Amino acid sequence: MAENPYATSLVANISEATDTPVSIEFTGNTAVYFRIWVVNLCLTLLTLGVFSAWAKVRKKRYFYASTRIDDTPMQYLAQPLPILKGRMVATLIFGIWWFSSSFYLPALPWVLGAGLIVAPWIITSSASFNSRYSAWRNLTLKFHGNYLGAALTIYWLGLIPLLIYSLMADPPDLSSAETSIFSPWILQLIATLAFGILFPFWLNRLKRYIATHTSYGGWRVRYGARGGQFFWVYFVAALIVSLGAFLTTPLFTMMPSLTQSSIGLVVLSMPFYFSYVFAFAYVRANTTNVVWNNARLGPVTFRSSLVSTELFALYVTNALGIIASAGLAIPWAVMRTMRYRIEHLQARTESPFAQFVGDDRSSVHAAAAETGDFFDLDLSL
Amino acid sequence: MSALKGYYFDGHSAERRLAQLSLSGTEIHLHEGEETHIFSVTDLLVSPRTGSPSRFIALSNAGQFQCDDCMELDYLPQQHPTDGILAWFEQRWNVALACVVAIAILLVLGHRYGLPAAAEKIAQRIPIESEKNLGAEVLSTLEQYAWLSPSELPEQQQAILTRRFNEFRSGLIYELHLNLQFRYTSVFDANAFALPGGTIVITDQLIEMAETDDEVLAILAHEIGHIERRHIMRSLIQNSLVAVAATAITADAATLTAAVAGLPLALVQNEYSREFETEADSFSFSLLRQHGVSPAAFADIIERLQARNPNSADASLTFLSSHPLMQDRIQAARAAAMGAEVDSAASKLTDEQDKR
Repeated sequence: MAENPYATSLVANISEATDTPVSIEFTGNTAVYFRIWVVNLCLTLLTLGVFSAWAKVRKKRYFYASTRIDDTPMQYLAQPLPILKGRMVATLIFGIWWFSSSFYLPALPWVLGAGLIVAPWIITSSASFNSRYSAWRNLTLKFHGNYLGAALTIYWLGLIPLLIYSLMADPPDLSSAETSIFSPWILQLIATLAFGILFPFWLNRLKRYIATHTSYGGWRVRYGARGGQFFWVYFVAALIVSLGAFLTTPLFTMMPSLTQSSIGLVVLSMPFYFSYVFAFAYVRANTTNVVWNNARLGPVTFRSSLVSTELFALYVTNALGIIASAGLAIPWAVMRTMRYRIEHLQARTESPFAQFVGDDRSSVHAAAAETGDFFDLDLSL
Repeated sequence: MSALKGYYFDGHSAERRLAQLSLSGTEIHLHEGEETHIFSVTDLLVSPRTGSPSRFIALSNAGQFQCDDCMELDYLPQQHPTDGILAWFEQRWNVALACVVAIAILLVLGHRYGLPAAAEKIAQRIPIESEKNLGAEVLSTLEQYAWLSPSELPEQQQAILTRRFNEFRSGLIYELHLNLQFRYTSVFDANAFALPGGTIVITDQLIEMAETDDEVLAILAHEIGHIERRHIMRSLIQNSLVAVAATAITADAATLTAAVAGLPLALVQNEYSREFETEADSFSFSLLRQHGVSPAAFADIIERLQARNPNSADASLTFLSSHPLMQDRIQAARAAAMGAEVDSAASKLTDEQDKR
């Protein structure tokens, strides 16, 4: 980045920088997207899923084309075949996992072990695929991460083995009366708690790794969000869910007649269910805000202002609409959620976009020529 | 082609410049500021129509021209020619409507016939031995937590039931895999269940509740039906395929619909489970008749089970349940018993005629 003349003068210029807004708008239309969705879904079902790779490309092209930054739409350049290849690999991996987890438990540790080895590769290859095929103004994004970096990031503090250990927890052994501090389930409880506390920090590290290894026009993304910020978001979400559980439990003893029927059980669980959805919306809104508000791409800064109550209302109305329409409202739900998220993202730039410069391999033209490599496959969902 | 007004991106910087594109003969002229770039028409690639108003033309100098979508662009070389057909479909409401109808038909047919048939085919190809591990694991886990413990029934009673069970299983496809286990339970009360791999567990409480051995055999014949028809493997495959299909359909709204998709998914899976129960019931009726036992025994024991747990009957919510209505099962057994009586009366008649 040193060759970028702007980089050296950044500090000097920052006080006198004229900070101008950059428009980010979403032009997606529900009627248009409904037709795209329904045609591609129909073809996907008719081909028993093979067409899904083409469908993904068609839909992503529309999402990108509907996102206009400074009046220029984004472009999704990926081809269906690498996506199909990626989906075949993913199906194979899923099949192996499904078989061993349902029938052949002795093989499961080996499958999980193999999974731990390929996980960093899956992360880097999907991040680099997504970057390489995302373009704006004839320049593509670029991902600079590698296997080792991704492995060091996701296996930080041995958190994944901790998760696996806590998931393998057996329920407490009721037949043995004595309970010691070192009985397996207490250790597993501690492991679960430790995982819960460390998870937000781990997630922040992963997001930082991916963001800081992504560049556009010669500028690396700068990422300032801290693990502590993530921790408090998840902490509040855990409180919300606990409160929901706390309010729901007495209902079962207050209205025992309702517990006799399945519908009654669903009704009684409603407060817990809503607290869960609200916690989900809270996490979504606040982590998104934290990430964008602390990120910077060269001269461009961002401001994301998602509100958890608004996102919660959006989720609930989406769910009701989807149920009432037997699924036909899915495109409507997708469009209004995207619109909400993009309309609440603002950007400002301290200098004109001519500051973003590409090299020989960052133009759209180069990205199109780069297919054919076996490992050029898309493993993201 | 008239001149197209748009923007030029040179591929070196993210700067946008006003530009105009015009065609003269086989050449394309791009006017941008003072400059004019000249390209051959065959070197251009037009980006596919996406449903949004803009399209891009990739130029051979690694530059790019953006303009509003128009029909003229379709006559130039296309980056992804097949996408043109898709875009044509995506623009039409009558195509969309036809797709909605086709999706509905495909989902109904797939759910009624396709999935169950596919699951059955796949299950037939997977040997029952592959389930053994899992079955043994389940049984030992249940014993480990003392949910099941050794049977307290007299050995002699166990021996009689085992002998009749062995008569029932003889000649069946999975004869050598079917085996009966007696257990006392502190959790499940009167119950019987088929485990993966062919083991059938029956609780002491169920045997004590039954008034005749025929009633116990009626229940065992139902469990044998689950094994013979590979219900465990089939439901595992069927439920996995349903989950995969549901994920595929709701993929773009994954975070939105995960919570919503759970309910219909559970409904479909419970529906399949009810079908398996009904299939095991009718298997049981015919196996009972083969061994000279009236299916009425099945009705009797189910009635007694129902009297023991009156809450399990919830007539208004059949579609939510994993088991068919007790009432329907009893009726089906009684109808089968009537049929059995008619059959045996008819065979007696023919026997007597033969004697004459």
